[in-house]
Amino acid sequence: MIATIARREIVARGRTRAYILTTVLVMVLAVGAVFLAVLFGDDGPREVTVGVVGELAPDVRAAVDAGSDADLVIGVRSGLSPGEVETLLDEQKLDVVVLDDRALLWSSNVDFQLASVLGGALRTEALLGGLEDAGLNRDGARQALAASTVTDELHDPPSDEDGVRAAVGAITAIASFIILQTYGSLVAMGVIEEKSSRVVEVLLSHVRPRQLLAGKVLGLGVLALVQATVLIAGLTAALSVTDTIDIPASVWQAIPVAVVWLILGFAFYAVMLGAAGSLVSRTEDAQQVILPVSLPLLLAYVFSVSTVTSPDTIVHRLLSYLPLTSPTVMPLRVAAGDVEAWEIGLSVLLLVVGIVVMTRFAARLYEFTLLATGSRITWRQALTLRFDQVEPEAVN
Amino acid sequence: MGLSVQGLRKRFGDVVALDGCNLIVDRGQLIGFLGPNGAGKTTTMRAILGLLSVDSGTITWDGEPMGIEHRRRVGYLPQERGLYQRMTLRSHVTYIGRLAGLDPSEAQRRADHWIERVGLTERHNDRVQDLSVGNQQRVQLAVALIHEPELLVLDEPFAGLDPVAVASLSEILLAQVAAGRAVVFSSHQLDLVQDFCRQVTILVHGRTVASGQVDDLRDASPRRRVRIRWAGEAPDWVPSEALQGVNHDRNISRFEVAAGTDPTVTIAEAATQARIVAVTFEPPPLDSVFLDLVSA
Repeated sequence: MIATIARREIVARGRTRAYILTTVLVMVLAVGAVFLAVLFGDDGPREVTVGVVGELAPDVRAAVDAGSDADLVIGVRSGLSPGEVETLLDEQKLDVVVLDDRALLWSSNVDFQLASVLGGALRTEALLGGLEDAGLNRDGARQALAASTVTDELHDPPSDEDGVRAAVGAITAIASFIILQTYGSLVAMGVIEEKSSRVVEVLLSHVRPRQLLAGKVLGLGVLALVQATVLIAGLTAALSVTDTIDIPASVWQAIPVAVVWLILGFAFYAVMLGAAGSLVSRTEDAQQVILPVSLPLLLAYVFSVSTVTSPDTIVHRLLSYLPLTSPTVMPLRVAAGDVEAWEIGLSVLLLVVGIVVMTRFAARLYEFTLLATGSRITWRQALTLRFDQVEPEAVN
Repeated sequence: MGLSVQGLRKRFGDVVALDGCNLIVDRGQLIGFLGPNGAGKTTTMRAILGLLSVDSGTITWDGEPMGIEHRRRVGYLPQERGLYQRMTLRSHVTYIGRLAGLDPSEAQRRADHWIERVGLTERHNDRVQDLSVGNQQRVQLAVALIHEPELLVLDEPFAGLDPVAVASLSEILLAQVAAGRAVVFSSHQLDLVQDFCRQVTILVHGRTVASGQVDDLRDASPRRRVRIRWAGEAPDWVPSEALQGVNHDRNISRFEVAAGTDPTVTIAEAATQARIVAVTFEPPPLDSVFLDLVSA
């Protein structure tokens, strides 16, 4: 019976132009996002231009030339007049100008890597000049200073993997949010539609309310999963074709995790939204009941943005355990790496418990309210399951 | 034996929806369930379908309390709407058949049968929303009949139908009754009820105030309607037995007398006024009986 109801939902929604279009769109976006990332992701070294009024001292010039590396290419335009400098800065052809060997005039913002190279060279030159004035031999002074060079090393160097993790995490969060929000709302809208058209009266003379709710959630869940699969298939296919991005192992782990949480999260939210939908009987009132239920989802989504950069704070850990927020937060933490097995277990356990509790409550609420057409049922009545005061719609 | 509803009571907060509603529908019987707006007809029907719980009273089928198994053998047509607007009518009727427990091929076969029976075969691939109100009502009837129920509960099935549609719907219902099914329908189109339904139950303010043969209810009226056709212009005459004035219209006079009045006395008095061509002496029509009950 539930399968029959689910099949109707799939056929009724799945054949609509809107569903087919969005599915194609999801595929195009997934593939497009990967190609865009490849196209713009690795845009080569930054090229900066240093303008000089007059000439740079030979040592400074040498240091600047030596300062170019894989990430930064430093060009120098020397022999400029103050007027030319002004014009070139206005035209944004210079990033920085060296004034009097002592001051740096930045175009619009300070490039710290360039500042370090340029500032260091100018400071060294000033120091050498001072030491020379004090009677030291310039070469000797240079050697003494060279010995004092401080090197920088990274214990945990940033890699391309971090970027990929962040991107995959963001895509997962956005996709989960959109899918949960869209299909959850469709469950609520479907319930309201059946109530407002009174189809529900005919249906309930054949099936029980919870079968109706289960079939609806199952049917729309299948449609949601199809789109999620299309998205994942599109992403992985595009990634394997481009072959330029190394996918860290944690990302591959995050995909099945995201799918599991999507299914469980959908069950949780859809059941809740279905029950919420039964509180009203006109489609105009839909948003009134959908919004309060989907608010936690929105909050979780907002929080998930920061999960990418700081996945292990207390708040993010907590959010990844709680049923209302774990569907979007936990997959992100997994994508970011370093999630203990017990955390995943706890999160799933709480979500499953949440689904069971919510299904029981929702089914009762749904049974009580489904046939109360007319005035809107208040949340207070809904939460206490007291409906004796609900008047039916005036009927002839 | 068949459907028996006894002493149904239901309150919604301060509103009393049902206050002693009784309704009996035997197999092979067609009952018109009448009452003014807000009398509780739809509430009663929802209670029969188990869509609503009542505060007290009993609903039985063949003497057994109406349970989920009995309700599977009930066909229900809710007032207006009651259909998915975007489904095609064939898939819609088939779907309800599936929910009623039919296997796919049987559901399909019966859907085709009933769509043909209600005269919509040519439109079976149209969406419900593209059908007129009358045709949607036919689809609803097919939905209600798909599982060949023993009891048919129809809420205002004739509302918004033209005379042709009313005739074809009545024909289908009478065929169901002839096949031994119990059929109850609500209506406030009393002229129509009187034409094709012999038995009615009348509900006022949630209480059953009358129940029985249409003819018996009319006979029970304390009034009789007299209509006299004269050979020429109606004479300026007030019958001594008339309850409230007389209505003269060219060569016809109409008035009412008490039910116990002897017709021959009235006719003899009339004959002294002018030459009579025809006389009718009848109980008032159902709508008049109905108005008496509602205003009582």
